Amino acid sequence: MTVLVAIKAVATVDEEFELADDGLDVAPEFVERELNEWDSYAVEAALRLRESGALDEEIVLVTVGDEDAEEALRAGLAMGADRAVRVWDDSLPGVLGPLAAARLLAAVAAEMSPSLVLCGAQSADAAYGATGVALAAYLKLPHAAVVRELSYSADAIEVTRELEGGLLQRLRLRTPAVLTVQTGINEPRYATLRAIKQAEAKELDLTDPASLGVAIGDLPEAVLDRVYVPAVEGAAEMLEGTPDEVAARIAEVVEREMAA
Amino acid sequence: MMTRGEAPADGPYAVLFEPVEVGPVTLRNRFYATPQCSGFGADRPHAQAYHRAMKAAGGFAVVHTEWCAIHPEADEWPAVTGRLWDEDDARNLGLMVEMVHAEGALAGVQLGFNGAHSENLETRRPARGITQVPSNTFHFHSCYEMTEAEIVELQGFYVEAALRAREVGFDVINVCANENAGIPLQFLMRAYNRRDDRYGGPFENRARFLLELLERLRGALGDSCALTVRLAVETHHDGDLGMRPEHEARRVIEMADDLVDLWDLEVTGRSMAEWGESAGPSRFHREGYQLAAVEKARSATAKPVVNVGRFVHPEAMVDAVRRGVIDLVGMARPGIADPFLPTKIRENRVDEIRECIGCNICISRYEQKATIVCTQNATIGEEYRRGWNPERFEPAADADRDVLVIGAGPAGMECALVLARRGMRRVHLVDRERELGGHLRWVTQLPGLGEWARVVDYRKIALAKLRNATFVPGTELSAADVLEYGAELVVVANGSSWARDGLNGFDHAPIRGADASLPHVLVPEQVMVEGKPVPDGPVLVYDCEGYYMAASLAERLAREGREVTFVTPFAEVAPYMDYTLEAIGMNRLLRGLGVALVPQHRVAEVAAGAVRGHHVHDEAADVEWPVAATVLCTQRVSDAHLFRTLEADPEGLEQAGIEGLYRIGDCFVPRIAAESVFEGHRLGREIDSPDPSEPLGFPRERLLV
Amino acid sequence: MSSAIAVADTRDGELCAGTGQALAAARLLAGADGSLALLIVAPEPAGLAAAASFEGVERILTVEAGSGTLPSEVVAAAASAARETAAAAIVFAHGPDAMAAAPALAVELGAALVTDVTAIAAGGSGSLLTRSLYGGKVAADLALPAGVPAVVTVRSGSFTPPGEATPPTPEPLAAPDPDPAYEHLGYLEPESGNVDITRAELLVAAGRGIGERENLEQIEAVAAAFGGELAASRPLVDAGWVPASRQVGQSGRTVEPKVYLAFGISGAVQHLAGIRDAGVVIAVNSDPEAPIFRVADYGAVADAVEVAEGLERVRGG
Repeated sequence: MTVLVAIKAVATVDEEFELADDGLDVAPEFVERELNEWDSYAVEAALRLRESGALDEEIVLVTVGDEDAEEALRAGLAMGADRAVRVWDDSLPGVLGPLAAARLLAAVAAEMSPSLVLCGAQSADAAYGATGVALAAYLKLPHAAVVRELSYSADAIEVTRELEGGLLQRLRLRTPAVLTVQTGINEPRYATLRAIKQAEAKELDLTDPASLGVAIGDLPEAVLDRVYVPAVEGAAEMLEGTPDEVAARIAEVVEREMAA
Repeated sequence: MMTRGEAPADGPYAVLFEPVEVGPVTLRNRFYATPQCSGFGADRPHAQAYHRAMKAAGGFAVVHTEWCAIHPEADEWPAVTGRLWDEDDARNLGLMVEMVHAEGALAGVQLGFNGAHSENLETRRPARGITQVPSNTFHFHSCYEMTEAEIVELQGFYVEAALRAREVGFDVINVCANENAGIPLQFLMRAYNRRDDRYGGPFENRARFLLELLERLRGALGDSCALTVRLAVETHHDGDLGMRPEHEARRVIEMADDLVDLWDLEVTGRSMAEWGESAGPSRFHREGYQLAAVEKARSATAKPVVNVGRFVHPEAMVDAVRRGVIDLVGMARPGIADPFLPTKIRENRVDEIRECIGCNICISRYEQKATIVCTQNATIGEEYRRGWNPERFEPAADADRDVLVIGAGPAGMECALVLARRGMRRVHLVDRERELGGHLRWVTQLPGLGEWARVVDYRKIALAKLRNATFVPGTELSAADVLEYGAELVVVANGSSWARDGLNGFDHAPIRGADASLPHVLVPEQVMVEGKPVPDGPVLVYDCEGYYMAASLAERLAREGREVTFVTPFAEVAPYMDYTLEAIGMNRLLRGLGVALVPQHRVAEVAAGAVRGHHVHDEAADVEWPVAATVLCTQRVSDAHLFRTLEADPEGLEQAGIEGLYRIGDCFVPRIAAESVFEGHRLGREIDSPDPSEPLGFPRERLLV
Repeated sequence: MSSAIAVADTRDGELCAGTGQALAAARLLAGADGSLALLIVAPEPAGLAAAASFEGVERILTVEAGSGTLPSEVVAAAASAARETAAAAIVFAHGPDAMAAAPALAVELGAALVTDVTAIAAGGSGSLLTRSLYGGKVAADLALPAGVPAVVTVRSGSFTPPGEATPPTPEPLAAPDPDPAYEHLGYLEPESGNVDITRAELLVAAGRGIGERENLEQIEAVAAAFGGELAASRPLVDAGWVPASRQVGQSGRTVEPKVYLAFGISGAVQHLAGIRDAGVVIAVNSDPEAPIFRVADYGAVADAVEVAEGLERVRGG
């Protein structure tokens, strides 16, 4: 059996950047890729489940992405995952919608029948916060989103979910299940240089949508019209008056925003 | 990318890049590198020139020499100063002028003559002074009282030195009238001037020397150079003995304004020894601390004004300029910590500035008659002899190697940073703590030392931007772990800790009864990090080190309301702080807090409830201090175990594929943080040398026979 | 012509601010003449329905959920409501609840999914939805595909709630069968105690502009009065007035409070880097040129300490 961890090589954009000529993304020379922060917590959660003896299974990483995504997979392998699968096909768009990524990952998962699927709660770049839960829906597996704590037993998993304002919900899920984890659930380990070198030497499995039997063109994905640098927010709204008048206005704003 | 000298069109800091006219010359921006000691003096002309030129390359509009003695009667040796005694001295300084000009900046020279404060130990000349009163700074040293003819002759020395400086191309001629040092200032102050002739008595007479001097300099120089005065506007004397910004300073500025192209105004102390008021350490003075005094004198002049004040934040600079207090931002120490500070502001790379921490270690080396160093900038003073540029790093020849640096204190952080900048494949900086900084994490929690955290901040920000550098927190590595880690190069930088048994350099042995596992015996880490309670009652702090640790802990405990006795074998409290100009202030502070200061005493035995000791020169003069707790600051002990274990296992290293094993910082020898940073930097720069553990040689500027 | 559903954002038997904002977005997606329904899935939905006084809501659909509302219940309820109303759009307020339900709903309905939307513009061939990418460095406009419904979640504070109106009579829908895969075990209140400014919702921050050390107490008083945490810019940490754990900025912590109230902070680049993800930034500084005013939503050129005193009075009175 398998614990599957779906990860993403997220794009980090330089402070100064330009848009690509087609107007649909940041120009690639201003972008670097790295393992999504949330996903590193998901990898760590899988490793800890195995180390605690709760789930002694092969840990497999899966991602949808081009060759530049391999470094993120290798980062997860260096942490201790056993092997990695990359799904790609040059016909796929550079920026995938949330449904397409989930559908492809679900197809990989379906072939493995994992006992648990872990994802980060969101990606740092697109930040849909949707892939894990959509993946669970495609697999028709129970799921919990934004998980802060988890404990695993053979037929059920108990999790603590983070809700608004720090409120927590404790849930029990039937397994297999899909969890999306929040940062802070653990402390992701740092790989040693030796582990990094070993990860570099590993073969990665490559597959494509056709082999998985998925045609993402059939998915009802929203269509990217354009990207742009948002207009610089106008200067601050200046509050005038005596200190007490200013204070009264500030109190109003604070109370309104905190209630929102 | 902007080219040098080009101002940003707009943005919050644009005002700092406006050109400023100073008499006949135009400064390209408002960044003004004031005269500053380097330790290179007249004997190291190459080091002198390369050092100054780096600031010019970094974007300063004008770069000054250090204080230059105008005549053999102003001989400060063995203190190291510039000299303009003759044409040969001038020619050597000409190299600096040439290099500064090549970087698009102007070159300034400071003309100095210290009167009674010049010991003339090399020239063996009697010192000439205003009134025959001994120096309050140098022991057993006096002067002769000049006749009026000798005063006129002295003015001539200035003119001749200025002409020598102009001859080699200096653009700005600055007259030193500050820090109790410049004799023109001494003439102004009743504290030095007890004459009753044309040069003494009423203020007009006391100002005569400076006015005549400026007239003669102006006459000789014409409009070929800018003529400036560095004037102390506040000397902290009682009443009218010295300079007060709203009185004497304003008057002399008004009287001389037509003769001067710029005023460099500053605050100083009552004696030359108190120039820590001019070069204020962060322990006592915040950024821009002189502005209040300068503002009082500012409106007396129509000429541009410059003032120092350890400015590092562009917001503070812009504010001082906008408020009209200063026209030019004067900097010595901030430009040492980062010669490229102006360029980084201009290019909006403010987060890349190595901000001065105000530790005054740069000044300590001048005071120790050595060449300049800096805690933040390991390359300072190494511009010529090691060829280091703080912003330029060559790719390492062995850049395909992975490096493990153990310990993220000053040495480890700096080494990792340099290695990452040199393009090593991967650099892992591992520390057992959660945060970067090593001992600075807690040292910066000592009272007054908060700004020292900038050493960590700069490196934290810089490392975060380097993709080949990784900080691995919360990880303690054993020797076996190191072998397993997978690095080809291993740098051990795991620091030191305070002796827990009182081991010290006075006894060359531990102290009887000193055992920090007992409740009443503590060491600094226990107080600051481990949270070990200090038992209620009087506390004795024992200092055998002489720098900041014991004094700062005494301050902290006294501020907590403890009755504190400070015992030290040294002749005075915290003597190393003499070098950093903090000693006078620290003594005042501890006295003010009610700390009992007991210099010249050794501790012989620590017991529960009492500490026994004696005078350093009289063992029979024994003393007992009834105290509830003792804090031992006797010496630091290197954490050498890890390095020694690895070093003793050459086979293990070879099997692990470790090609190089090095140690830097306090785990080698506990020293000041500046030396740890330097060692880390040096190793990083020389990691691809034939034997990186052995520093490469450097050229020495000596005469060969 | 078109219909849309907003899913009510509820907590502890009350409607939260996200409800009105989701309704506003649903209205934009339905069009001015489209029909708008509010779906309430909660343990006792009747009381909530009575309080849902939003203009333009034609129907209120209620589903009785278990005492601990499960995302699976919300998905099932929303799916049946969407089918019942032939909704073209189902809108949630973005947050952990929506993250748990909206993607599953989209898959269930074969709908498009766009989350964390900040603006909706009517276009020629349909709506354009705006969302942020790369931590807000760029914005993206997305067009919804034709012929399928859309599940949309909207960012807090991005849409202005509709005005008030008497709510229509609620229409209870059948509660979905409990899903045996899930069991609610209970809620836990947030832990308090350890200060972690990165998790604080309100940060009251002080900078060198507050002047003397004594004035810090005044800023702390404001933090206490409004239930916020004290934060500081580096000069105050440098000076030893505030522990480093409360330092915001590049060398301190990156924070993302709902409200960042800055007293006497000029806004050095390093500091601003730490508040990039803050919600509303309010800055009080006596220097009108202070860079923080360029990133603040509200600013006041005033003495920080005087305003802080005023705030304590406002809150106290």
